[in-house]
Amino acid sequence: MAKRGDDVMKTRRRSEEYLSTIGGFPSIPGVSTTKLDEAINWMRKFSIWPVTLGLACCAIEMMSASASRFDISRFGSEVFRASPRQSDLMIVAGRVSWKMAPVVRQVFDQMPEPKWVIAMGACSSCGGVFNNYAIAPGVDRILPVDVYVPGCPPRPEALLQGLLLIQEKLQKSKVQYW
Amino acid sequence: MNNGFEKEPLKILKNLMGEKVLDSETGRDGVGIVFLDRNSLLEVVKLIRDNPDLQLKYLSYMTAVDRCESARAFYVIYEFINHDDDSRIRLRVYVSEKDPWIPTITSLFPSANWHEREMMEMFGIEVRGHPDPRKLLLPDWVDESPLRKSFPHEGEELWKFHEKVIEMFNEKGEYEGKTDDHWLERLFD
Repeated sequence: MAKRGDDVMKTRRRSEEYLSTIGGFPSIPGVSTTKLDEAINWMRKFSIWPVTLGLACCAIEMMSASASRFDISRFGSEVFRASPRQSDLMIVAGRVSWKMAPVVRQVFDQMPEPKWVIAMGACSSCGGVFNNYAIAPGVDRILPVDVYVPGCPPRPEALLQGLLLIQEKLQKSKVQYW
Repeated sequence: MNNGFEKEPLKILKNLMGEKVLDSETGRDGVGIVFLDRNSLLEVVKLIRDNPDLQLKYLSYMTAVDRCESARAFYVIYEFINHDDDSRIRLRVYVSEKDPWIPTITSLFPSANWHEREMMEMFGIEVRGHPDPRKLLLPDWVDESPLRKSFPHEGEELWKFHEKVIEMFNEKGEYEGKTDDHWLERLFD
């Protein structure tokens, strides 16, 4: 008596036999199959444009990460845009004072979706050495942060790893609008 | 520093002002210090600027000192310099904690403008008659005076301050859903 799924198994066996006779899955030059999400995320993750937002000494490391020695353009993020409207990533490089907080928030709000935030350095992650009235104890009090990069300041390699983590996270995400 | 020459303005001022100089002393750095009442401040500042013997035309700095809870008062300190002969004088005005205000000297020294604004927000001393009494360094929504000794400098108390600021930041909601025009208005205000 035929069980449920026998037909499927039969079809599969047949197709496997067929594939073995022709020597594997047919590869058509210039054509590849994948999921739409993965294709779009794959394109997105190598063109994450950061917004120019240097707040303190971490910005020096951020600049050298984009210079030739560390070369952030290997990962497609070399285009630091002066306008938040053209940016996908906000690297909060440095301590955020309470006076600056509304400005940072405003720039973040002006960025179009999808957008990501890296809190670069100890100060923007948790306030760092500044335990006083003037500095916000972590930029995550005013923004949703995706990746925290520790260090004071972090090396450019650390920032690049933060960027790679963003890419990993991005690759796993579902595409909602495109 | 020239040898003891800084004491000269002190003598002249004492002769001119008489009983309006409450007390005087010579600081450890040799600069004459004059203790004043805040009601005679403007008069004395005008005098030391305009008197031909004094001519202290440059406001070197202006600040305040919290004398803690024991004294329940603040000093407001002014230092003036005469760049011709490098003589200088320091004025010290007592301001009680219960009634913390001083008159502005911006009419005589326009450079005191930002000093006074900073003092207003940092020490909570009201500067009466100031032409532009906005906050200078702190955000608008902070009401505390951080440089007072009673302000917490670390630990849970400071954390409470931060929580309060965050709450105000979120409550204000000024930065969500506003248009670019709003931002431009703020920028060119």
